[in-house]
Amino acid sequence: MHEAPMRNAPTFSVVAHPHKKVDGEGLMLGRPAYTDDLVPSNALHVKLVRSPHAFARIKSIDATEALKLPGVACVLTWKDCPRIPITRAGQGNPEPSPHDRFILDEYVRYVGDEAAVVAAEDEATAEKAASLLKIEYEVLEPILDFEHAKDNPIIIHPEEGIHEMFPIGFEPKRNIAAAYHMEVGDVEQELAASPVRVDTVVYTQAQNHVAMEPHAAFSYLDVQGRLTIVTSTQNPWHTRRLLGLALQMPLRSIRIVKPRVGGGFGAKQHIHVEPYVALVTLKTGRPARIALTRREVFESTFTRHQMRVNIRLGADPDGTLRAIDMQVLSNTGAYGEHALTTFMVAGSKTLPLYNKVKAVRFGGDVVYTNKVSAGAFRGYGAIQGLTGLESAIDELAHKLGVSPVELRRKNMIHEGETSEVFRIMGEGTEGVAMNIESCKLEECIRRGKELIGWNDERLVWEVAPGRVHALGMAIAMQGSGIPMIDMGSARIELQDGGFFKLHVGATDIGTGSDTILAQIAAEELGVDMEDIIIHSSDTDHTPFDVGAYASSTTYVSGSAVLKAAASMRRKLIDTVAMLWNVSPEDVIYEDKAFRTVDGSRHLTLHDFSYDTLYHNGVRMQTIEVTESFSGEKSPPPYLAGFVEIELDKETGKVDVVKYVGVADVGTPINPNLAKIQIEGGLLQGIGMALYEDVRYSDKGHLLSHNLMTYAIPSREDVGSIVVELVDSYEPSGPCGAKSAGEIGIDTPPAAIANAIRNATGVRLTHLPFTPDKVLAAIKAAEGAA
Amino acid sequence: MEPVRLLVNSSWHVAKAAPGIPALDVIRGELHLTATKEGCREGDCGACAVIVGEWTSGGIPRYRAVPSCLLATGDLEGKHLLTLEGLVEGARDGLTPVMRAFLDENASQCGFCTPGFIMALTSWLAEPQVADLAGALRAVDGNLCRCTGYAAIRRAARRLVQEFADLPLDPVERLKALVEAQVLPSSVLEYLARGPGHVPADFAAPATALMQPSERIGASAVVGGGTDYYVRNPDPDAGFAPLLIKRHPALAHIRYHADAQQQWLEVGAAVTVRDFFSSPLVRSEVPGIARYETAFASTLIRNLATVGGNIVNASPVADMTAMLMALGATLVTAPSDLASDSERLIPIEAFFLGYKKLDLAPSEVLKAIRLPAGRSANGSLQFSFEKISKRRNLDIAAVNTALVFTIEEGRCRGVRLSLGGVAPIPILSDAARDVLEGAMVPQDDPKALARLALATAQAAAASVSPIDDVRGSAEYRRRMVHQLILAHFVRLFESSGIAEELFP
Ligand SMILES: Cc1cc2nc3c(=O)[nH]c(=O)nc-3n(C[C@H](O)[C@H](O)[C@H](O)COP(=O)(O)OP(=O)(O)OC[C@H]3O[C@@H](n4cnc5c(N)ncnc54)[C@H](O)[C@@H]3O)c2cc1C
Ligand code: FES
Ligand code: FES
Repeated sequence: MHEAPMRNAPTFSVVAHPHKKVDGEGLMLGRPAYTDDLVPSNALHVKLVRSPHAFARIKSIDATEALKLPGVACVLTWKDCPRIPITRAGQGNPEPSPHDRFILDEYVRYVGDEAAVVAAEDEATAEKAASLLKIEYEVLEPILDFEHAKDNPIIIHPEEGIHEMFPIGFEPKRNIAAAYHMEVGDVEQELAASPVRVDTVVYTQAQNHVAMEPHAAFSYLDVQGRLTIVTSTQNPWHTRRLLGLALQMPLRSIRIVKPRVGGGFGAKQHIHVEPYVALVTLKTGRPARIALTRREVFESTFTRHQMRVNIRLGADPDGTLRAIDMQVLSNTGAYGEHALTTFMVAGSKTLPLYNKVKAVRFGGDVVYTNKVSAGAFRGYGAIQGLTGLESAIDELAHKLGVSPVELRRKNMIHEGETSEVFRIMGEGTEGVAMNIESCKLEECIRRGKELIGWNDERLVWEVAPGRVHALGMAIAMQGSGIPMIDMGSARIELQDGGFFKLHVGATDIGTGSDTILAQIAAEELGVDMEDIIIHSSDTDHTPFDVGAYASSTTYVSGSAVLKAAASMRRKLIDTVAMLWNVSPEDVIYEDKAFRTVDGSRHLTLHDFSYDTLYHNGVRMQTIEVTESFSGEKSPPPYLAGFVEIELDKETGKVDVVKYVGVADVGTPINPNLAKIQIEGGLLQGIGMALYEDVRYSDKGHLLSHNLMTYAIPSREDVGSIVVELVDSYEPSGPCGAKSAGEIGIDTPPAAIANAIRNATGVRLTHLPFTPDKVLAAIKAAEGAA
Repeated sequence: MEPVRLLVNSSWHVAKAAPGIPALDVIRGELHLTATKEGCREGDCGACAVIVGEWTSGGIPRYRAVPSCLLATGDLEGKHLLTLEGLVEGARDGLTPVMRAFLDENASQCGFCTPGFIMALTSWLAEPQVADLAGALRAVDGNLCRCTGYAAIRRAARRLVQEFADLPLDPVERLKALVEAQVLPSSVLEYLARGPGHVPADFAAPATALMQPSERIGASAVVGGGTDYYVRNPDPDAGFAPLLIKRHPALAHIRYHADAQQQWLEVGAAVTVRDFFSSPLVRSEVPGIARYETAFASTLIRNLATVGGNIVNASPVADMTAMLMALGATLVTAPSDLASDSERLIPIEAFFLGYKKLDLAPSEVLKAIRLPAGRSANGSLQFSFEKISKRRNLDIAAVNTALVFTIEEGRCRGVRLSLGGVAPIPILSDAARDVLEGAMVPQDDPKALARLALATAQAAAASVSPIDDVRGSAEYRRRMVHQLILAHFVRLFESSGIAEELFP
């Protein structure tokens, strides 16, 4: 972290300071805080019976034996559910995802798809009952290869009634969940006229989120008979809206509460478990609890969209980039959650990096397969697109024989510039034109080079017989919320004693957003952190927010908090001025006290809080404000990633020796929390580059269904990870902030691919870069040579 | 079936659950101690780590972290179970120093993994050894965190190393010092004061003796450390009461045993992987073996897993099996009442009959493992172990191998090269032995050494026919056999210059 003061930024007293997390101590003490710690002791235990087939029709379900078991409360099948197509994607309304899913359906479309629900007095009985259900399947031929899904004679969604909410290219009869195409200029002509061209392909794999807390929820009927669901979610309001639709209930009779969440990364930006506990509670009137096993998390919650990214670049011999063509095929699995938007983000949050091209094109399809559904995942398409783009840019540097760093610097976006792509491509809709007001990529690159010891003349060197070290790099951008779509709000109320209640819809999923939102409020209200009591994400008790995704919380929800705090400040001054019969301009609020300019009157915030609630007779009132914010733009954070790898040419094993990420996130509201977000993101990206892979048998059974067969990096796997934040200030952001949640994950796959290329001369095209693939590529190249 | 009695934090408790139920279910379900988290129920994540205090058979108290999801409740009989809630009992400023370090260094993000990390680091401090950063980081090698990228956790660990550099090395004094420093709660003193006598006399529970293995003849299942058993059977039936190998003191020793022919080092089947590698006897019989400890799983798993369980589990890539096979181990089996007159002695390589098929009757248990002793006397025993896996630790090997021989008058003798992951069972490579046995070891001729290494590697690789599976393709495995055997030679003859010859 740079300690130097920020240029053209105001000085802060609470913001930009490394305050401890407001829930830090409680979590340290292990206080009951997560969903499954809070379950009422009389709750029924819910188990989901899952399909053993990749594609099948349920012919019959015989629950006789299961229901005979003492302690079994109910068995529910597709016949017990309203036949309403929904999406499980937690997105704005109307959702850009097709409504192609029923809570329970006659068809099951992947191994692990929900076939029935069982509830019993205890977990063991529920499991036993689940095993006693006799389900007869008509097994159908699945589609497992996404490159053969489009127009395959097998149709994964033949059913009637499923639909798109607005045109997204939904053609289920062709196994297409969504499609899109755009072009600026004439790409073919520009490519043809380019003296230097590269043509590359990268396959990015499905990746699992592996939040350490498995998905969990419980539900009960409150004293008014309303359905309350406590759930580990990233988006309480979307959950309520989707559940209302799925269960055909008015939204007023549902309440969603989010306790502490043990990590999300996009995994919990969906409804996975909530409908099932709700069904059981509605059926039995009893509290009901579900907690997925780790295996279920792998088998039945979402993955990152697997993509094939084809890139063609055209350039002049001096390295001027003339055209980019990005064509993407994306695999959404059995259902189309986030199908269109992740795919579009592959272009919309990468192509503007190289904004000076004369022509740019993006397009492709998102197809259905009989695999675990894909959904939102930190990096959300951008990491896939960027891996393709930044690999291609490096190839271009090799072809031109120039420094990969200089090639990027020559072509990349700078402060004060824009890109047509911003205007054309949004998330599922048209985009929003935007000028870049803060972009410190140059500085990120300069500092990154320094920290890794970059030397264009020495990108690979031998450290021992058969073992080399090599450097690689990539740059990235993300967004900060979805402009004109994401909205957050905040309510602040003065309490007796002179402290404030801050209620936000924003959803802290472990990121520390409660802390940074309280920091913003404390800063603007001129009080200490302890004077802000934050409460978040309860559809009954806090104002609306779309939820924690799209890197929106700091920028969108943070702006709402800043607005609310500013209004509160004005309202306090106005009220005191009225009491004193002076004009508001004559009242100064400072150091938790009011005084007149001439010093004749003085009142502490503490005393005022008592006056307004207890002493002021007819003028007593609650001082309260609510404000909302929706962004007109989505200022990108940037990051330059540099890696030093060790590659063992005998075993093909690649280790990250050092990863440097230098980021421009605007003002880091809490430098410690921003840094740790990026550190964690980098490691998740390293995991994607080297280890993590969702693998299936040829029958569509998941082979990577636990933490042993699906390896996420352990502490031993990380060399040193160095994160620095450069000075930056985003004029449109709260206290100058942008976002830090996703940008960290984007660069590692490309930077590591580029380092492997430098080490071996071979471009690996299929992630992850496991030893067997690296070795095979080295041997193939040796054979060819 | 007697109920299990244990000290839970500061109060004694009689478990309602059967002895075969994983302790995690008792902790969260029965005791409502929800700080202990369930992240995987398979030993991989460490979120469920608890600290178990016990008196060793040598009469020494020790506290060690283990994953409670794979721990049989019955193995807690008479022991001290510490959860996060218990650590903090009585702490002056409300947090223990380990928690304080995590909080101050922002080492917790979503916090779900944090209790496990705190237990693992607290347990590490309790181990009578000099506290250094490498040790601290090793202690958390079985804890996964998806949020932080571990950098902040490393900072917290570094802080603890500085803070606790001078703890006493005597086990009892150290525990007392840690109670004084509020790292451990005062209930530890109570447990220490009670001595190895287990549960308090005034404790309202039937004062029955320890469960005898003989009572469990015909028990449906045998559980050693449980680290394989519970992964395969995560939700045993409510009354599950297996034969708990660790409950029998006669299986927990490491000592010399002489028969008519020779001297052996006998390792009881219930000895944990951790204790095996720490044993001075093992270390002196197999010089250099200690460096391979961390190749096996993680600290949490090593604290729980038994050597016997590794063998009986019959995985083709079991690491202890690969080592013991190369070391020429003989297995001692016995009926489950441990009657010594029905013992059988089986060379380890003859124990594996086919994929997961063993020369072990359902009524038998593995009692001990015997290693030929005395071979290291003249310093000539050569031992090397190698494995390939995706991650550095916490991963099952795709291929593993161990190589043992002695050098007598300049020639290789008693060559045994084990290979795991290339056949349905772990095997000894005859082809490698044929090349090496009796061969001259040209210690100061790197070129000739390299030729010998290559000949051995090629012979071994050519003789195996592995299969494709999730851990690696057949072709990859064959190649790895080749490379790992070269690695043996590089390791054993490090200073000879052989590396430069093999990998020019
Ligand atoms: C996260 C994780 C990482 C791992 N990493 C490794 C690794 O790196 N290398 C490796 O080799 N293994 C690894 N394992 C597997 C496992 O830890 C080892 O095989 C361990 O040694 C098994 O010992 P245990 O005492 O826990 O066996 P248990 O689970 O108790 O028993 C295993 C089997 O043997 C039987 N059994 C146990 N003891 C006896 C006995 N005395 N007589 C008769 N039958 C008996 C049981 O009935 C069971 O069928 C790992 C496991 C986990 C969960
Ligand atoms: S729950 Fe993951 S190790 Fe026990
Ligand atoms: S802090 Fe979330 S998993 Fe470690």
